[in-house]
Amino acid sequence: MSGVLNSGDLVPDFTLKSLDGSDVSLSDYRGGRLLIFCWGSW
Amino acid sequence: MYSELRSHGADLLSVAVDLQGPDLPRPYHEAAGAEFTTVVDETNALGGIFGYRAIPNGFMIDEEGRLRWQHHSGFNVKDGDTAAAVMHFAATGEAPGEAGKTDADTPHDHFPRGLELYRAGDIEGAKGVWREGSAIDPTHWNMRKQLWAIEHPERFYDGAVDYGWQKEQVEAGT
Repeated sequence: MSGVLNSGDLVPDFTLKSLDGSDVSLSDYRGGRLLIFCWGSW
Repeated sequence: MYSELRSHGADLLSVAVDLQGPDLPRPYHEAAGAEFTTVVDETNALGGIFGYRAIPNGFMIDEEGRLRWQHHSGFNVKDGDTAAAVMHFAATGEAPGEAGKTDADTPHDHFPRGLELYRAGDIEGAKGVWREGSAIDPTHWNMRKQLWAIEHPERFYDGAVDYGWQKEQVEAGT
């Protein structure tokens, strides 16, 4: 199945911890184009 | 690749979907000599937001925070077509399938239209719509998979999903 968001949809903001422990939010990137790459070590 | 993205003013957010925390992904991040930020998604929060059930995935987000392109499962930025699409978006803000197309031509319209036909029992009609959509955006993985699943059910429903076969299809451009 396709994702729950369609092209053009506003992506809900989220905040996750970076590897050094600081908070990083999607909204930190507002104003620029962004590639989100989701991967896993497993 | 990251420096090229940055040269266009775009950025990369790497999300390690590792439920055990940062210790597992850290060596990968460091081995890549990564200058970009890697965050850890221990609760699969983004799986909920984007609706993915497998990784790796890629999402292009524009300046306003809107989703412009998504590639669920099998995303590989080292793949030539994918890398070109990412850099094109970084440089121009134009996502794959958007060039010179009206809204009615976008693959995300083809996908639900095909699904509607499929659910109504018009399998041939659905295949036609999805073929059109796949031609507009060959990277629309979900649509291509629907086609494959209809045309080659043995690769999907007869025991384990045959990922090796799927890889061959991608390489063959079917």
